[in-house]
Amino acid sequence: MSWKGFQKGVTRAPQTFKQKFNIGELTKDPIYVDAERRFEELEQETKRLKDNSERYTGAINSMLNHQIEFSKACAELYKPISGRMSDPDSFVQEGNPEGIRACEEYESIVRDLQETLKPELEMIEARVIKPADELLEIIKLVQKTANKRDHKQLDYDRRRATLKKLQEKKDKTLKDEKALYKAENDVEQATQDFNYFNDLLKTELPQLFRFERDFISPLFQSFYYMQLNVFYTLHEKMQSIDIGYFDLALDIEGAFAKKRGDVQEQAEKLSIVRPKAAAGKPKPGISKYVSKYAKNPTSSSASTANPEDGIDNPPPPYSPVTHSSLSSPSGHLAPPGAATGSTPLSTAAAGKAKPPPPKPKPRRLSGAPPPETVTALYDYEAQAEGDLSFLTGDVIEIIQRSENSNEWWTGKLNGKQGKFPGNYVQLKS
Amino acid sequence: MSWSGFKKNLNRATTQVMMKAGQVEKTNDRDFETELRRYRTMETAAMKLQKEARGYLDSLRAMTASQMRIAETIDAFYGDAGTRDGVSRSYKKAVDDLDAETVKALDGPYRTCVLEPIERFCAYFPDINECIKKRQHKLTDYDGTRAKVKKLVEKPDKDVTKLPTAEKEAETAKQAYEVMNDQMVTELPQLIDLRVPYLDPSFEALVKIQLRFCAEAYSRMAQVQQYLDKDTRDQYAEGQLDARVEEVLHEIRNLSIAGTV
Repeated sequence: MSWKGFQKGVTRAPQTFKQKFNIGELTKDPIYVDAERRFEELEQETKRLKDNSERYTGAINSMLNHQIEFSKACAELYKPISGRMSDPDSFVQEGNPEGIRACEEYESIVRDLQETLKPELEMIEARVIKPADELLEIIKLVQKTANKRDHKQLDYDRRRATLKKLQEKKDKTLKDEKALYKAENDVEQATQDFNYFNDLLKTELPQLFRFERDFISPLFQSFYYMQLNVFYTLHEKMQSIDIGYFDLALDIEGAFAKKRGDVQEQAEKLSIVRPKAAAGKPKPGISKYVSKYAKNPTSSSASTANPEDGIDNPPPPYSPVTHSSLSSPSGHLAPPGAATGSTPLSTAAAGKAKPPPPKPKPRRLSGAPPPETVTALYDYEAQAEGDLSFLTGDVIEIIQRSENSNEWWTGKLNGKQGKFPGNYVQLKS
Repeated sequence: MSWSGFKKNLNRATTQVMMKAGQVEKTNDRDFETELRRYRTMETAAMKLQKEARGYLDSLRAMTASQMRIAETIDAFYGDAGTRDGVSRSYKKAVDDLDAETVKALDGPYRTCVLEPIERFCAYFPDINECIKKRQHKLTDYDGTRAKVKKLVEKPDKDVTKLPTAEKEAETAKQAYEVMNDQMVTELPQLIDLRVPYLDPSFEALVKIQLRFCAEAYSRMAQVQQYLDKDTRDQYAEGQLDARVEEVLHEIRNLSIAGTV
């Protein structure tokens, strides 16, 4: 800070203090106050726009990088592993050459994608982030002007207070008269200064806001089209993946289960792998998102998704990972205590999934006479036609249910009838 | 640590020192060493896979999250400027849906088919490493007891009962070691062989999830287009939009509050 600036700061200090604690007469211009508020919003929004655009491009890049690294790691695993690298004879053909080829193909597609997206992302950089940055620069300058106005206001209030004090003083001496004269002059000067800045801001801030609209509209449109292009490119390139290695006709989970088979059980039979530590309890219910996909597979693979789905009452799909190993005869419910001893990674990773719904105790046999009611443990939103939505705590009348809470039950709520996952509710005892 | 554990540790430490000093013969097991190296290679690769699988999900989330915030900001901008023409709304909706429906809907399959299997596989490693450590301990015990026997044979002690006791100890240690070692030598390769069938399905699932994400993201975003003027696209392509942005920036700079005071 310059010496002059410092001096000003010191002389203004008492008035700043007064303003803080609302002492004495203070100037308040409602129009300016409102404009200032909008200005602050503008500043924050511009900053947010810039930051998030940056983050956005960064995230796309890192997504692609992870894709590449993932396939590299896969290829690494598919390679035959030899304990004696220097001995070529020790390489047994135990790897997965087709898998490696698929990895390489995939990697080259993603790399190509990254190349293609590069100019697109640079464009976001040049056409969105840069202008936003420039606007921020300007905003900073405007902020400076606004600060100046605030200072002038302080001066104005200060001078006026001095003048008032002198005017109210009775029996003015000659010295006082002189001071009064000077104070009047000061007030005159301060008023002019203050009004100049105040009016300037009041006329020009609205102009700035108008420009803001003119600014954001083309900016947003550009951004939108760039984004659309990014997604289009992603879509195009990924769609063209024609790696024979992948069975693209099957849906995600179906193919996974099919390909996976009982490998996990095999692995966990090994005594060096202590399954009791790794094997957890069954997956915490079924993520509602999973059920959505399994119920309406968007691909043409509906029939292959869940072969046992032929029944009216399709059970929510098991995640094949753990359940196949634990599948018990239907109707038999494992007591929760049996499985909770360990802390499986899955629950830690389950992040957003619903908490594991405790297994309701089967109080009645399936032939129990209606009406039977259950209480909803969680909110459930209909995922498909014919589903029943409810909120936590709702009491649902059972129309039809099975002993297995991992299946879809039918119930009635508020006159509406529909299906819902049995593990989202608790049976009334 | 228990007292017996402490004693064991002390004994083993002594044996190791003696081994370094060349007093105790060290057993070398080439088969095991080979398998161990193979296992280490696999462990490293699998851990990397786990890291990348997590990173992918994180960056996917980061992308949609920043997109949503951008949409919010733009909507706020538009709202202040008083031009609610439906574009910013529909854009916001598209972006929100993308997050709520597509990303979250793929979250489940991604977890069950990619993340959890990989994490589960990686969760085996600590146990296995524990076994490897244990085998090493047993081996040290065995080597130690054997050295003791050797010493007693070469230089018989006054106490004649010492040799048979030591021999018995050596025999027990040998058995314990062999059980562990056999287990490792037979089972490590089995696990290594299982790595491909175990992890390969996840790769396919990942690719498919990406496919679906890209397809849905594009179709959702494309819907916003109908709210924009037909010629906006051409204007974009011709760079007119950018020119407009520049122009406005220039005008703003000309305001006297922007520094010309």
